This record gives sequence, structure tokens and C-alpha cells, in this order.
Amino acid sequence: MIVTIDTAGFFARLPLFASLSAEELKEMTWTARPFELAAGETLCRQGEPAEEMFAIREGSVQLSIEIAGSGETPIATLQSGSILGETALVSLGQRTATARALEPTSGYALHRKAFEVLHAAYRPSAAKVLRELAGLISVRIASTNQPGPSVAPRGEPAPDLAPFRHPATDLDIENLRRLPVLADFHSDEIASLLAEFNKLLVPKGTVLFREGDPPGSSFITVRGAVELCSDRDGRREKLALQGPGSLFGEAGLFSNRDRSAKGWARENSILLEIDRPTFDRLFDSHSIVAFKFFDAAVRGLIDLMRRAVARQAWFETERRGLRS
Amino acid sequence: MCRVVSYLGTPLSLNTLLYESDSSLVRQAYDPSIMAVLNLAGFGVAAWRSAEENEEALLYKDPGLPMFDRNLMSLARTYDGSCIVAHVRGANYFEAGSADVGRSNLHPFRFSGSRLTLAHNGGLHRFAEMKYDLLPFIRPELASKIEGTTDSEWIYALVLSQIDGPDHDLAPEEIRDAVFGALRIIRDVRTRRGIDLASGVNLFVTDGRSLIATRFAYDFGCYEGRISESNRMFQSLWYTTGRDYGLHYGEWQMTGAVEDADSILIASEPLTRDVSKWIEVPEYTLLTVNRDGGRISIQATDVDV
Repeated sequence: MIVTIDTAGFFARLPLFASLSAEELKEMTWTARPFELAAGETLCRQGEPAEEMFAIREGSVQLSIEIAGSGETPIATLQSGSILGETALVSLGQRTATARALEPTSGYALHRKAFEVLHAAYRPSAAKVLRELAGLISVRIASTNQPGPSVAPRGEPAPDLAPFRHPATDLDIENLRRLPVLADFHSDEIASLLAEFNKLLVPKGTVLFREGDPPGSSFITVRGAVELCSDRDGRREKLALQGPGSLFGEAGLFSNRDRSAKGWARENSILLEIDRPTFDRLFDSHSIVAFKFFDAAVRGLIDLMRRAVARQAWFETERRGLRS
Repeated sequence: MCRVVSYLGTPLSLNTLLYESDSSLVRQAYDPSIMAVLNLAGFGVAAWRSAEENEEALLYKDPGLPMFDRNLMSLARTYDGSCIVAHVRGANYFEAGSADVGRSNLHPFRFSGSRLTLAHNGGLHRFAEMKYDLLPFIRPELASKIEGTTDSEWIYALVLSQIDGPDHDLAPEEIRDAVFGALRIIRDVRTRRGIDLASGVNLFVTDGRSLIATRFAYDFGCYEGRISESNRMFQSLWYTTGRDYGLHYGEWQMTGAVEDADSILIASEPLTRDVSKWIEVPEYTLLTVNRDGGRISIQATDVDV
């Protein structure tokens, strides 16, 4: 389709694209496909391959998820100006919810291939969307992990990791390249990152951060595993296990929110630590290394969000009394 | 490696689990969905028609390929089980003991005189070095029944050894505690031997009336040299609950609400094309499943040994 000024104006008002210039907006959205739905029609269905993101221009849709043995449960209503399925731009996965029009609804679908072309060329427009996406997903993860009110700041200092900190430059670069999060980096790019990162050698049981801590470092698991968990009614709920190759702890840095989960070493672990000044320096630079790093971060966040959503089904069975 | 399917509930056709579902267990032998490893080192199944105390379980094992096993196909079409544990074996050709393909190494394991049955998905690293350290913890009359070369059969003997008189009617909690006891012993032996590399221990243990399943690994994420795909993946475990597992509205699925669940499927990976009705069990978790008064109840316990 040809993007009219009116259409471009619509996309420009969406937070995901708000930082794009007019030219960047044009290259990002020129393939957008308009859609129209009658009330009750399905926009996308849970479990289908997710290949497009949707932006609602007029009308509204209801999101619902089907949980094993619990039927379909409405989880949100999205109004005009909302987007859904935006992770499809970066990562091919399955729809995690079904979206149905509540009234006559229209909008645009943007196919992942349109983004892929810009992404493969390291275009600044793709970098800007990645950063916005990271912030958006980070907020969603926090609200999925903590569906109630935000955890109050603890008012205590975050755990002191200084005793576990070492230079990272002695790590085997070829081994690091086998980790999914660093697979797209060249050896010299990893060497440049290692000069800025720390290596943490943490024994099993070490707490890296707690719920309510201010956002601090983010981490990459090189060896071992870190459990992200949340305290619900005095019980520890496992949210995700971050094994070798996982990047975690960055959600708070993108969203500038306090930690929504506790992270602790489930095994004796070797981690790469990206402290806040290093993270911010990368964020502000426009290098290809920074582009790759934030691309990896967004993919990590998407994976974490999908796991957080899937884990809700586990919690739901407990709430409904099947599991104790 | 290895894939396991277990079922507890109203009688269900063996054919449905083994051959008919989208990603049936036999299909997982050559085309698993979650991992890219073949499981062609044999097949085994244990099944009970009812929870009656004196019922003898069906136990069928064959080191051949189940997709070409006409005896199994015929049996599966005529057998309905209220409790089923079936296993396709993937052998590691580079590890001593594991590479031996034969009937004595096939799961599920069940010693004569015992109702308890065990299937295993995973492997204990450097098992050959540590297995004789486990011997003092296995009752002599059980040790003498070990026929094969797998770590799994030793784990089975270890679990049985934690129970006083394995012939008696076991409460689910007794089986659970026996599994925990065995896992702790293995941990202690690994620590003494300085073994700290990732070793998956997804167990499926049943006496035909209740079911224990673990999603657990020792030292997950710890590897030698450079990391490989298998080091990064925690052995998976999924379950789905409801009623009347079968083909409904063109999809293989359970029906009904959680509150009315009378059946449960626990498996290494979902058996159906649509995975939205399956729940992934968190890592380091043990499930104790009971079927009391026709209703399924599940208790989840963190495994920190």
C-alpha cells in the first residue's frame, strides 16, 4: 500500500515509532497492510505463528488466553492507538493470546519481513524500534511477574557483588560465541565487550538482586544457572531459569523500574556482568556492536516474556485448586 | 535423550498415546519436537487396566523400532490403561554403558516382586566412576536384580531401597520421599567424587495408582570445555489435565475444566499439535499426582538436593 500522510501520522503517534524521523517512518511502514474486522471476528488466534504486528486505528479488540482446563479467559481490551503482537517483528514465535474485535475495528498489519530488511542492514530506524521495543516488553514482563501493585522499594542496598567480581578478559571467546546471546558477534567485537564487562564467579545460593531493588547490572550466564523468582504470599514462585547463554536483569534498565523479581544462583555459576554505566554507554552509542547487543537483549526479553506468560498457566492451576 | 509419556486417569487406549496423537511417543522416537536427537535404542511400556491392588501390570519391551513392531501395534489397539508409562530410548554412543542396546537396558524398570516402576529421561555424567559408590545404599536383594548397564536401573534400585518392603501398598508421599532419598544419595556420591557436570534426572515413577515425575538436573549449565546445545537445554517436562483425552473438534486434547479433571498426561514433550493446553513444569520440580475418588490432584515440590 502507499502510506498516506494520514497513515504516516497515525504510525508517528504510536510510541513504538515515535522516535523515528519522517523518512525512517516511511521506510519502516510502507508495506503496512490495512485490515477491517466486523464485531466478533478474530484478528489472530493463540498458538498460530506470529508473523505480523497489528496497530488498531479504530474500534477495539479483546485479548484472551486459553489455559489448559480453564477455557478462554479475557486478559485485556485494546483500544484505538494500541499495538499487539509487536514481538513478531523480531522473533518468530506463536501467538500467546487470541484477539477478537469487540466492535467494527480497523487498523494496520506490519509484516516481520519489512522489519527484517532494515534490521539486516543495521538501519538506524531498526535500532530505534529495537530500543522502544525493549522498553515496552520490559514493562510487560514486570506487570506479568507482578500483576498486583509494584513491589515497594526495599530501602536497603542491593546485594554487594564486589567479592565475586573479576576481569572478564580471560574468558574463552570461542566458547562465548557458542552462547546464543553472543552468536552474532565477531571475535574482536566480543573482545571489546569483555574489556568493559566484569566476570562474576558466584557460588550456588548467591543473591544477585531482590524484588524492589533499583535497576542495576544486567548479566549473561556463561556457566551454571540463575533462577528468577517472586515472593507470593510467602512462597517462592519460580518465574524463569536463566541457563548458559541467557541475558537477564536488563528489563529494569530499559524501563527504569525497580526489579520485579529476585535473581539467585541456582548453581555455582560464571556470569558476565554489564554494569549500569557500561549499559548506558552502549545505549547511547550508535555502533554496530551496540546494535547487536540491543538486538540480543530484545530477543532475550521476548523469550523471557513468553516464558513469563506461559508460567501464568502453571500459577493458574494452583489458583484453581488442581495443584498445591 | 529419551522420551517418556505417562498417564493416570480413566482407561485410555494405548494406541492413542503410542501411535495416534500428533506427536505420539512412537513418532518422538524418530521425530521429537523439542530436541534434535533420535530415540531409536528401544521401546518399553508398563500399564495397568485399573488401580486394583493385585492386578499384574502389563510390561512390554523390545529393542527394535516401535514404528515397525507389529506385535506392539496389535497390543496397543486392544489395550486400555488407567495408568501407563511408556519410554523410547535414546542411547549416547560415546558413553560407556549407555551405548549397550538390548532388552535389559530398556525402561520402564520393574523388578519381580515389586509393583513400583520407573522410567528415566536424562543421564548421570561419569556414572561408571560413581556407580559402585551407590552399592552400599542398595539392598542386596535388589542389587542382585540389576541386569543392565544403565544409570537408570541403578536409580530405580536406589529408589526401591528407600522403601521398607516395596511390596506393600504405597502412599504417594512414600514414593515421593523415596525419590528424594535416592536423589540425595546420588548428590552425596557426586560431591565425594568431585562430579559437577550437568546430569539430567527426569524420573517417572508409578505403582499404577499414583505418579511421581521430576524435572531435575544436577549442576545444570555446568559443562566441560566448550558448551554445546545439549548443555544449554534443561530436559523438558509438560503436563495436561482434564477428561477424555482424544480427538475432539479435529484436535487431540483433553476436555473439561481443571476442577473436573479425572485424568493427567505427563510427558517429555506435548503430544498434540496445539500445545496451548499443556503446561510446562518449572525446572527443579517434583510432581506428586494422586487420583483419589476419580479426581486428579497434583502437589509440586521444589527439588533442592
